[in-house]
Amino acid sequence: MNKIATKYISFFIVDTYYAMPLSFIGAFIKYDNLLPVPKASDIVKGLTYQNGKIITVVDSAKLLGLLSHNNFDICLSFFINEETFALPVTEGGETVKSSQVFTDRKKNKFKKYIKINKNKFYILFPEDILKEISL
Amino acid sequence: MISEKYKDLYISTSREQSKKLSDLLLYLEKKPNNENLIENIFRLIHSMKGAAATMAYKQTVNMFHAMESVIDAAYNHVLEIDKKTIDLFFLTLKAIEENINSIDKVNKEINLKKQIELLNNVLKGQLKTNKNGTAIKREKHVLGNLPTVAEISISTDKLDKLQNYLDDLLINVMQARAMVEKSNQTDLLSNCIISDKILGDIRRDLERMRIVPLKQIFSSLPYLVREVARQENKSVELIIEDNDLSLDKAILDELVEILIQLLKNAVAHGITINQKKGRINLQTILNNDKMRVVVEDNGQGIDIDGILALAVKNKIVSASVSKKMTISEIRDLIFVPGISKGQNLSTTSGRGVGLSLVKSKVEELDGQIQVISDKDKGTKFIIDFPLPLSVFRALVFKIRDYHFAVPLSYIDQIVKLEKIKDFFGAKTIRHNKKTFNLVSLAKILAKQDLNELYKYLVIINDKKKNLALPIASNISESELVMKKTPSILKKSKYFKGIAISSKGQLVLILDINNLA
Repeated sequence: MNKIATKYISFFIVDTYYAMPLSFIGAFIKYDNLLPVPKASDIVKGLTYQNGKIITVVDSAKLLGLLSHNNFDICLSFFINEETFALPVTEGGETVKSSQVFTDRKKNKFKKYIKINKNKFYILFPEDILKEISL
Repeated sequence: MISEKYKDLYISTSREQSKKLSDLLLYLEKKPNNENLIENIFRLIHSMKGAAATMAYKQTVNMFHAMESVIDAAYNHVLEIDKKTIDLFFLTLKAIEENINSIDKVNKEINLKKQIELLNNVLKGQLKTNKNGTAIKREKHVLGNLPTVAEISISTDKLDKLQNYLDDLLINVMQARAMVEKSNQTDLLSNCIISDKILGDIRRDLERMRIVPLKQIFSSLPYLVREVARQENKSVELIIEDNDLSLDKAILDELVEILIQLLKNAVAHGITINQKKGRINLQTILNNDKMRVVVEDNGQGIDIDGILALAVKNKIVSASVSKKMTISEIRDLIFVPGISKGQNLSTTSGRGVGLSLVKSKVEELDGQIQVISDKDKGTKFIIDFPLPLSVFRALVFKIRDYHFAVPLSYIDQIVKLEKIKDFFGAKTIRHNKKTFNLVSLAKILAKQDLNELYKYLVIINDKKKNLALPIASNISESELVMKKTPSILKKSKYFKGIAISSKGQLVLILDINNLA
C-alpha cells in the first residue's frame, strides 16, 4: 500500500536539521522589537508585532536543550490554534517530502524524524512546542 | 460541486432564517389566526426550501414542502392552527436546527422522514372537504415581494484579517504624523491629520460590523425558555429588556452561553410546577465602561439551609466550617462544582456543574457574578463585565526591557513627587492628606527588575480602593491600538491585554485591580 507523502519545511538550528509540517507554516521572517513577558515560561523569548499580528517568539535553544545560545537572525513563523508563533532558526531550508516517519528512541522529546538524502530531519510538531511552553 | 462551494453561506443563512422562524412561531403561538404572520412564515419557509433545493438537500426540501403545505392550508382557512400544530412546528424547527448542524459538521442531512410524515398527517387529519365530499384544492398564492435590504454574511475571521491590515496602516500613519510634527512641515501635517481621521473612521466602522445588537441574539432565548418549560411541565414567560445595547459578536457568543445556563437553571430550579405565572426578567444595562446583565426569576428562591446541608453532604465544606459561614458565603456555594450533584437529575440540569461553569465563563470575560436570593422571594443573578478596549490613550512607562501601560480612563491624576522616594516594602503612601494603597509590580517582576526610587505617583480612578501606582521614569502618553491577547498572556491575571503604540512598540496593559 502506498503511504501518502507529507510535505515539510526544512530548516537548520545550530547543528541539526529540523522539519515542520507545511500545513502549519507561515514564512521565514526577521523580527525586532521583542517585548519580554514577565513570569512567562522561559521557553518564550517574548512577543513581536508584524503585519497586524502579535507573534509569540519561542526560544529555540531552550526548547531544544541546546548548549550554545546563538543569536538567530531569522525565524520560522507557524500557525496553531488561531495564533502565530515564531521559531528562531540558523538557516531556512526548502520544502521536502517524506512518507516515512522514524523514531529516535534515544531522545526525550521531538523524537520523530524523516530521512532526506541520508540526513535526519527531526520533526517539530507545533502542538508539541505548545506543550513545552505549557499552553 | 455547487453544494461544497456554497455550503458555508448556506449554513450561516439557514441559521439566521431558523432564528427568524423561531421568532415568528413564538408570535404565532400567541396569535394563531393572524394572517400576516402566517403569510410571513410561508415566505420564509418557501425561501428556506429554495436554498435547500439549490444545495440539492432532497430530504430538507421535502420537509419544507410539507411544512409549506400546512401553512398554506392554514392561510386558506382549510386548516386550524391549534396547540398541537404549534407544537409540531416547534418540533420541526428543532429538526431544522439539528439538520443544519449535521450538514455543517458531517456534510449530511439527518433522517427527516418522520418529521415529513408528521406534517403530512396534520394535513390529512384536518383537511376539510367541500360539499361534494372531495378535498378543496389549495389556491396558489401570489404573495408579492417583501422589501429587502441587501445583506451579506461575513465571517469574523475575514473581519479580523481586515482589522489587522488596518491596524498596521493606522500605526504607520501615526508614525508618519509623529515624524512630520517633529520636522514642523505644516503642509504635510494637515494631510497626516486627515489620513489619521479617515483611518480612524474606517476602523470604527469595521468595529461596528462586529457589533451586534443584543436583540438579535437574545431573540432565540424565549424559544429556549419555552422548550425547557415544556419539558419541565411549567408555565414560564421570559421578558427581555436589552435597552437597545450592542456588543462585539465574540463576547456576545460567550454571554449567550452564560445566559442559556442561567435561564435553564431558573426554569428547572427557580420556577415551581405549581406557579401559574412563572416569570424570568432578563435585563442589560450599560454602566460607564461596564455592562451589567441581570437574570431574575419570581420562583422559590434559594433555600440557604438546604444549600448548606447539601454542601456538607457532598463534602464541599465540613460541618464545623458551615456553622461559621455568612449568608453571602452560603449563597456563593451554588457556584461550587458538585454542590447540587444528584439532586433532581433531569435532561435540563442536576449534574452540579452548571453554575460553576457560568462563574468560570464570567471570569474568562474578566467579569463578576453575584446572586441575591431568599426563600420564596425569587432569585437574581447579577453579572458585571468590562467592555473591551479598542483604540485608547494610555500612560506608557518602561522598566528594563518591559513596556507597560495604564489606560488614561483608569487614571485620576499623575503626581510628580517632591522628593524621589524609595517605596521598597511600603504598602501605603500619604499624599494630599489622603492615604493610598500602593500597587506594586512585585507580583510580576523579579526584585532586581524593580526600581526602588520613584519620581511619580499615578492615582487610580477608584474612590473605594484608593490605589496609587509608583513609577520611576520613562513615562509618556500614547495612543494605543488594542490587539488580540495571545495565549501566553491569558495565563496571567495581571494583564488586561496587549496593545501597539504609535511608535510600533508592543505594550502590556496592566490590570491594576488584580495587582493591588
